[in-house]
Amino acid sequence: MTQNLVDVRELKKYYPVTGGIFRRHVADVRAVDGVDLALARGECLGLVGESGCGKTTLGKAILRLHDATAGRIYFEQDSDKVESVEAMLRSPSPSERARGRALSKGMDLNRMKGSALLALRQKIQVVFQDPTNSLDPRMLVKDIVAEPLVAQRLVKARDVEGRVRELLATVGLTADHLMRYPHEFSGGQRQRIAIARALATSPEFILMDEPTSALDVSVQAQILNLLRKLQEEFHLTYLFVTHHLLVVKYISNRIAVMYLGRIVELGPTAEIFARPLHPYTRALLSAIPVPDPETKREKIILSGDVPNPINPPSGCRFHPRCAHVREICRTTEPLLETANGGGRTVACHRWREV
Amino acid sequence: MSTALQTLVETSDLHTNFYTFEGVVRALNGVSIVVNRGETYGLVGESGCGKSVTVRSLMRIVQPPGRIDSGRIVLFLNERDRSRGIEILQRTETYMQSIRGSDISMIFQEPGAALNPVLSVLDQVGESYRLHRMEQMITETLAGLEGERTAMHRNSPRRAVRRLQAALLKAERRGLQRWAALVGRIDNELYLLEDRQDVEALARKESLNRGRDRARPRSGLASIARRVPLLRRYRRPINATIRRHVVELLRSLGIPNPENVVRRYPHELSGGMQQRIVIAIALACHPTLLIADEPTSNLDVTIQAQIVELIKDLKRTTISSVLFITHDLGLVAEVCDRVTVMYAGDVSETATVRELFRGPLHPYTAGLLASVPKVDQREELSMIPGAVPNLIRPPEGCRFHPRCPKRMEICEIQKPPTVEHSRGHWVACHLYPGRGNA
Amino acid sequence: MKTMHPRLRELAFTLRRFLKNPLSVIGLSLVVIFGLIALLAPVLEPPKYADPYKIPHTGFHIEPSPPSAAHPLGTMQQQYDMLYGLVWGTRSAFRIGVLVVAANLFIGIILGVLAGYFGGLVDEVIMRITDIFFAIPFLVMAMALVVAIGRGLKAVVVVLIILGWPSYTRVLRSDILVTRGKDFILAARASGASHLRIMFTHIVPNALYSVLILASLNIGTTILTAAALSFLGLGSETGTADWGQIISLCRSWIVGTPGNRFAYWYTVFIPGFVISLFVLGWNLMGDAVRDVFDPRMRRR
Repeated sequence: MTQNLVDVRELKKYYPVTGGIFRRHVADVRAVDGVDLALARGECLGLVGESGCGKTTLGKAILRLHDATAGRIYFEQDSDKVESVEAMLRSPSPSERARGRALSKGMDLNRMKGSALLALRQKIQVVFQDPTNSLDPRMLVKDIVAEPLVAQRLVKARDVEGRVRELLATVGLTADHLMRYPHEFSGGQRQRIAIARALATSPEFILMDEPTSALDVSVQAQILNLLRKLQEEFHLTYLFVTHHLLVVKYISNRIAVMYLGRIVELGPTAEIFARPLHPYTRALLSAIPVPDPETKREKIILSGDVPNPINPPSGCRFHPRCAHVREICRTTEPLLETANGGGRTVACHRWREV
Repeated sequence: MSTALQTLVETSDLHTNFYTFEGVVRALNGVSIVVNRGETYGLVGESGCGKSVTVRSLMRIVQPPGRIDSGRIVLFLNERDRSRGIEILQRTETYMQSIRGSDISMIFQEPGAALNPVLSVLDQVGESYRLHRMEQMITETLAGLEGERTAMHRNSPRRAVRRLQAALLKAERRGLQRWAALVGRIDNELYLLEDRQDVEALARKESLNRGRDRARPRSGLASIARRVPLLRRYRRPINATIRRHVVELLRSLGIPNPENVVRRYPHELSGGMQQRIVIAIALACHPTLLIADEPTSNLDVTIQAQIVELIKDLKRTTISSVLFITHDLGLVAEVCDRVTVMYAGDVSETATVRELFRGPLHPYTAGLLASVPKVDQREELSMIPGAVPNLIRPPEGCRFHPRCPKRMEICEIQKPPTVEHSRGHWVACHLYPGRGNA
Repeated sequence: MKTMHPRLRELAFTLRRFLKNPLSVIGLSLVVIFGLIALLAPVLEPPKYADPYKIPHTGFHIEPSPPSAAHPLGTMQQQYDMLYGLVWGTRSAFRIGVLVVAANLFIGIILGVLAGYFGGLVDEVIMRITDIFFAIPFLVMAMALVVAIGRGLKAVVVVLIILGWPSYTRVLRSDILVTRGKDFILAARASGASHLRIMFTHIVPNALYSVLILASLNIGTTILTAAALSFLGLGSETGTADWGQIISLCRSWIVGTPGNRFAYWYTVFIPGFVISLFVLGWNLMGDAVRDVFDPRMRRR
């Protein structure tokens, strides 16, 4: 039985924009607009893109921190079953589609409720960007780390403290830190606390939502190394959301590049860095400041800003900023297609030529 | 220092402290840096290392409860007369106001917070001209009016209006000139007094300082006209002149469609565009020194690349020196000529960018460089253990010693002196005992 | 320090901050002094009647008499003893202030939590009700209600309770909305915490501070309003030991005799001074509490 740990299909998240005094629905912010993404067990997938591209929204939808507008999220489901259900959903006959919807109901994380969802919460966890905001300032460290255990009643009350000590030790903190408030810690230590909390339920999958962006350079290295170590130790699967490309390069096996709610390129980290196919990926990679004054690389400076996701450009969403734009890019939206083998996909009409 | 480079700003042994409830935060522990004319100078370090406090001290905009307690800051604005350095800490607030935004200007990390949400782009960029270049604006406006007047029919009723406008503008310019002359004279006297610091001179200096704080542009007629609603219309031509300058400036910064952008308000612009407006405000008066305090930290990589490219271009064309503050070593490598690495309020190391990245001397610099993921990073990232210390009770001796892999006994006792290890490469670490030239 | 429980340590820190500010110390001492007076009222001024809240009076002579050995602070109209009235009035003041504010807090917090938690229609209804309360002048509404219920100190208390809660509800609701957007709430949801748990272990404790500060500031105001209602003749009956009543007894003597405008100064000055001190004490304390708890001020 082969399975992907997480398999996201056609996920959409629209935020309604209301206007006028009657709060009428006037438009949608299409934060995530049709994303397919699969994570194999034990891998770290880096999700990169600029602010507003929908990477955080996608992550939070997978965690059900908000409800996706449409699409399916399969968690620990058998690949063959997923494929057959997806085939039914795509079929032209309405009765077949209805059967698919009924079948997917039990498998789709996006439609789970109550105890089924709670049971899955055990296996899915999250670490947020800024530990100052993600730790309740009025709770002691021991209560913060114990929260998932207590909330889901996973451990007997008298065993909680032992488990918390164990978790703190795992992330490099000591029992001295139990009875303290978050504000008594440095940024790096706070992030360790957040990581300990995420590990409390022994999850399979952790969403890393820019976990090092709020940290100093020297501390960032500590946290990155810790995350790597934990991944090996507990066979964790990470979805690592970040805008920092060198961090993603260091920690992830595969990279997905997002632009305006869509994935434009996906592939193994090393290959994407060596030979980016999509013009946007190329610009993104060339824009990284390299900490080495000796190498002067040619930079691709993109003009303009990321367009408004309420009204994305027609055709290829990147075309207004793309240097290789042709007529077809303005009219037809490119789909993700397999490129060069080796699990690489890219959504560009002209990737072969440029 | 090498002879080819002229010092523009020099701080020596700067101590800035913050008096908080918890105790005194010793943010700067004797910081000495030198920014030369014509270079891009980087100030790198982690949060709380004092890089922002250093430049805020330099511009004398440290907010309470912060206070500059000791040290010297000398600004050499006059290129020819090197002896006439401006002692920034001795000068009056009025004088500092005339320098800030004109000779030294600053761009901030968060463009959204640096712009006033209720003023249009035109008002905010125009403010610089209004504060520092009013005389020039008036002169240009007058010349324009003169031209139009001769072109127009002699007896047109609008001629009288234009004459009134011109007269009022002239009055205002005279007022400005008188004020500038007065301030200049007082400045000169203050400068002369600086050498003879006896009691009498000090008292005189005090009164001079007070006198200049009171000195304000005054021009009887114009100052009344400025407040009378109908007569205030005489200022319209100036506003048109300022608008012309602003549009030109925005265009030179590569902002598309500047005529349209000047009418916008900050919230209507994207983050990258906002940062360009902030840069425009800073550049309006052609500063000698541009201080960029993490100008791209909150921007996306592609936008960051645009802004960095813009600053580099400006450095080539318009501004003399740039003081670039960042925590991103990659940016430093790309933008700067010379760098100072700071740690916990101390200067650790100063060198040219090449030197620093090729052969870092200070263990902190080395650790910092090693902890950044490289493009070809394979092996595990090396890291500096521990965290930045609390500056209320900073470690004794070298402030880095609790985290230092090469710690020695002396490090815990004595603050290391700054020595010139090789030409132009300064380091403050006991590993490098030099000629002890602190 | 090390062995202290962290909650105690936080409390000690807060207290240290509180005591470092001279104004808050003044406020605290005023409140403590008034509290002692209220507590020790039976010792300071032993009651003469079965109901201690009835001020004793020696005769029915209408003109107030100045301070003397028998009446250290003088007497009011109809020879009611001023000192007795003020001492036992302090007790009434605490009873009114604490009772009203506690009840306001109770109602305000429940409705605020409901509005902030459920949002939508519940929120809309509760907020529109508070709007109605804010739309009508407070004192006018209070007067009308007191008359409707029937005069007396009890009626005043009931009316102040009915009218006082909307500001708490509003403040708490907006704070809950702010707190609800924080990352640690999302983290708790990801941990599988139930809505109730999130509400009461995360949102309410973090949102409660402004409400508590508001409450400490409001005790003084409540007393002033109660006094105002008594002054207007809507409060307690004549001769009750209540500050508003005292002022109302003295209001005919504000202006003295034609020859001596300040002949009855003590009837106005002494109770006025006492009420001002009381309100000042609570306000200073409320300000100090705000400074101490303000998260922006806290660690700077």
